[in-house]
Amino acid sequence: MLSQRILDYTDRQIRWLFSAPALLVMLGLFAYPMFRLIWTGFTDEVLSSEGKIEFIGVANYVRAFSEDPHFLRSIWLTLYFAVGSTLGQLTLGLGLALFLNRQFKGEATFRMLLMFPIIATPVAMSLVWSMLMNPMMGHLNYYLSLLGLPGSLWAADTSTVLPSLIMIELWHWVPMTMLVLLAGLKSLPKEPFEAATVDGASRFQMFVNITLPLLQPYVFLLLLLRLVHGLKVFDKIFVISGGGPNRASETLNIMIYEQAFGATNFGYASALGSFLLLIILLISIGLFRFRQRKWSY
Amino acid sequence: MSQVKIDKVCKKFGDFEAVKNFSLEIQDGEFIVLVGPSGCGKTTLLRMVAGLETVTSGEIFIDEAQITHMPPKKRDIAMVFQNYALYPHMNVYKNLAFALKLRKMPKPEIKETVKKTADLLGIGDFLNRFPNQLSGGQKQRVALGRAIVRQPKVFLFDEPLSNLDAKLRGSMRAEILDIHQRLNNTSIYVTHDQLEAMTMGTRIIIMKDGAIQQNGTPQEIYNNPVNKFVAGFIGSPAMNVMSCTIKEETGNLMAVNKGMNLTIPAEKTTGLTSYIDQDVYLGLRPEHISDLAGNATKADNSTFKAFVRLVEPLGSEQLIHLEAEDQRFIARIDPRSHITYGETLDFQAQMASATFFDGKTEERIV
Amino acid sequence: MMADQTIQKINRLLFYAILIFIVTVFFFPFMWVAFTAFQDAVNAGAVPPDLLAPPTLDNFRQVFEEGGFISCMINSTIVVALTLTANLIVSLPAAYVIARNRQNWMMFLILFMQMAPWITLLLPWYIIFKKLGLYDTYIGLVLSNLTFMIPFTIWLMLGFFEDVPVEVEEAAWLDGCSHLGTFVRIVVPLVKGGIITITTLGFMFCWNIFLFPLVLSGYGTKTLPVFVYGFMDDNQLDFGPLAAASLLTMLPVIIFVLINQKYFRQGIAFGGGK
Ligand SMILES: Nc1ncnc2c1ncn2[C@@H]1O[C@H](COP(=O)(O)OP(=O)(O)OP(=O)(O)O)[C@@H](O)[C@H]1O
Ligand SMILES: [Mg+2]
Repeated sequence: MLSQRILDYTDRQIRWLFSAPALLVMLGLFAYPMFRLIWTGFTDEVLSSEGKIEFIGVANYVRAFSEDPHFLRSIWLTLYFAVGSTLGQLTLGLGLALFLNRQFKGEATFRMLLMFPIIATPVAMSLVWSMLMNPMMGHLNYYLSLLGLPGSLWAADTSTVLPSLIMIELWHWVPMTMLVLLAGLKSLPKEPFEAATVDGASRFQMFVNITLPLLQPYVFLLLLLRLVHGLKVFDKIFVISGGGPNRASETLNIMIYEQAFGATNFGYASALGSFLLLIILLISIGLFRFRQRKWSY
Repeated sequence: MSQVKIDKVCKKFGDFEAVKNFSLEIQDGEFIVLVGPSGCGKTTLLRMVAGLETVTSGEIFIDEAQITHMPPKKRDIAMVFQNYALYPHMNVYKNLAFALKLRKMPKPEIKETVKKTADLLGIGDFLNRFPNQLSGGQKQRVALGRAIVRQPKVFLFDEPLSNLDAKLRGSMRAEILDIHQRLNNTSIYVTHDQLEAMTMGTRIIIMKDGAIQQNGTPQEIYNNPVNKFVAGFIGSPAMNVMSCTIKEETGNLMAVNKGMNLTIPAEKTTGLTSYIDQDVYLGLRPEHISDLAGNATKADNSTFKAFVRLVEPLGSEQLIHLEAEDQRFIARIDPRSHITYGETLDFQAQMASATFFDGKTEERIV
Repeated sequence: MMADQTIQKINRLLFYAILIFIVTVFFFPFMWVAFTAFQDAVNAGAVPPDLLAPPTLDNFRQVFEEGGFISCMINSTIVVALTLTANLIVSLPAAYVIARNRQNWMMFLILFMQMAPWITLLLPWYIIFKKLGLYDTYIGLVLSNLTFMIPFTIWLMLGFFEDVPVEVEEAAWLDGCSHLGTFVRIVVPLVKGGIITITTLGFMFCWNIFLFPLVLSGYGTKTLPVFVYGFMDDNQLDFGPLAAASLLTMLPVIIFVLINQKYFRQGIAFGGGK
């Protein structure tokens, strides 16, 4: 009788029972570490230090903004990479989606093949790309020479390393933006297009006046999502260039990693991390506002 | 063998009172219909009986046992939902068997019970189909079967027929009544369709804004509506309600407004004498207004002139939409009368069947 | 008439030509890696390569002989399997509760948790994990993966749970089912599509993840991506073995996702991906 009452009680409080595990994991592995990160950003903690961590106020931030010339440069490199690859993904993805928005033989096979870059392990593919981009033995320079073009140093040169990385990022993610936009295109209502055809609009006019405005929520959402993703890219850069040559591709993510696990400046790395987190938080708020306004979820 | 007693039940959503001080006793085997306009709290009341909604205050009993705060699974109540709510991932057999399985009934017995129920409802051939392979009517039968199969103490129906087309609705109505007569389960049936209420209920409860307006048999409610709301809600087309003033002329009471001047027969005057020179509502059912076509007796004190706005021939009768000065109303008239749009004719009101409501409280006077 | 048909034909031809070009651009690295993995040391690095050279399995032999490949593969499999199981157990009930009591601040937190850069989580984790003895353990890796799997799963599953009509649940309660029983017997079977989608995408995320195990795993629990990274340092210009190692690393995830292609595409189209 008593055990039955306990069972009944638990069953009524089920929502707490149900959310507790997820809540605990996220508190322990997200909330507390975030707090810890921000706190560490105000200390001089180093990886090997035993017990003598001191609170040093905003010294780490002062150091970043006024004493470490590479910090501002790495912000620039991060933005360069993130914005460049986001714009590239959207324009190429949209172009391909428009081009493929029809029915054709072999559609299924085509889509399957295009999924490969998204699925394949990024570290493995980065390795493959670094071999393809090898200035001496790589295939890319060989194909350029077939076209009568001079070879490039790709990731081995300070001026070409970021464009090369962006190129790989595009290879990796354009198929995805394309699939998303294609799904968006296919879900657009038919009526406006039919009405415009009746009104005698040209293809281009239809694109500018109907397709783009209708597709705009998808594009904008994707833009923000890809931008945030671009600000977080680590694997590719770390494997292919390691931030080099001469720190020319050392974005914030790489810099934080190097400061923390290479130079063991944990306090300083945490300050940089807090800064990155703040930027992402601001974009998230924007994204959330937009999502609430335009979309039901 | 179950009675239901609902005692002074209230339900608040925040500040909004959806059900107000609602009391009702339902006898064993009764088929009660709850009817009222959309949003009047019918579903809320039903869900409180089922245990799907908490009760703010008041008590609910089944067979003397207090169930107000009991979880739904223990109440032994079955509910048929408007959108069927079948388990989409189970075939018809499993849908019916689910509750029995939970009660740990032995397998052969489950099989037999399900088979019997399915045959009763004529869904024996669909036992292996999934809900998305059934038509609306078939789904509704399965939903009904799921309720019947476990022989609950009380059946609840929440507008079970409103997703069906008109013809199917008619036949399902008869079927539900037929089943009720065979099994004789205590049932509460919610609808906002007054026709459904009139044809199905042994007793009808009319609700408005969370409170009971009238509780009675269909005939009682039709003939003696307690107030203007009930009068306007029941009947199709509804009772015509016109505002007018009571006057006294040469010893007779008259109902007077701009377009009419009708004598009130003596047997109706008792309650009305205190209303002389006051505003009241005069209610006349459409069948209590007739044309003078066949009648030799010309204009007496119960006729009035009206303009014909629209003629709806329905075959066995015709509905004439009339306008007399500002008042609009409908008359149900013999199809043999030739009445056409645009005419202005004399009509007769059968004042002996008229109903009067207080001008302020809208309660029935006589 | 004739002219119209010819133009149509040319149009179609042009379309397929462009299509083949696009496929080549995106699929070429896979053809290259599949080819190179079977070439001997001389031909693997040759430009132009000899397409007719006899294939060899030497590269794969070398990968397997290099200490640790097999054990890293096992580690990866264990971590992925544990993460996906734990993820369903933890996230599904939470997603269900949130779907039935959705509030704005919850949605924002779930979104933000997906957006936060992994490197910023990693710094504090490293310290905490070392202190708690979670460093270089399966549990540690599973927990790190759960941190991104839980918000993503909740986000994706919300829609699926919201599509389950409340009335169906209520019918089950009235039929005599407890809340837990209703969840297990009625609700979960109805979101099967979402569960397969999340498992497919989750397999991909967890198999491919590099940054967390790079820092949080040691010799005992090293996963395949970390192995490949180390293998690259050891075999700088030896294209054959490197290609073989890359191929072996990505083959399982590609096969798994292709089997569940339909669900993968749904998931991608849903979230705009990660
Ligand atoms: N969960 C809720 N929260 C707040 N208000 C509610 C809730 N459920 C119902 N209401 C309100 O309570 C009132 C009664 O609702 P109810 O669903 O019982 O109406 P109903 O009589 O069944 O109407 P219908 O014929 O349209 O089904 C409505 O005004 C409705 O807006
Ligand atoms: Mg209702």
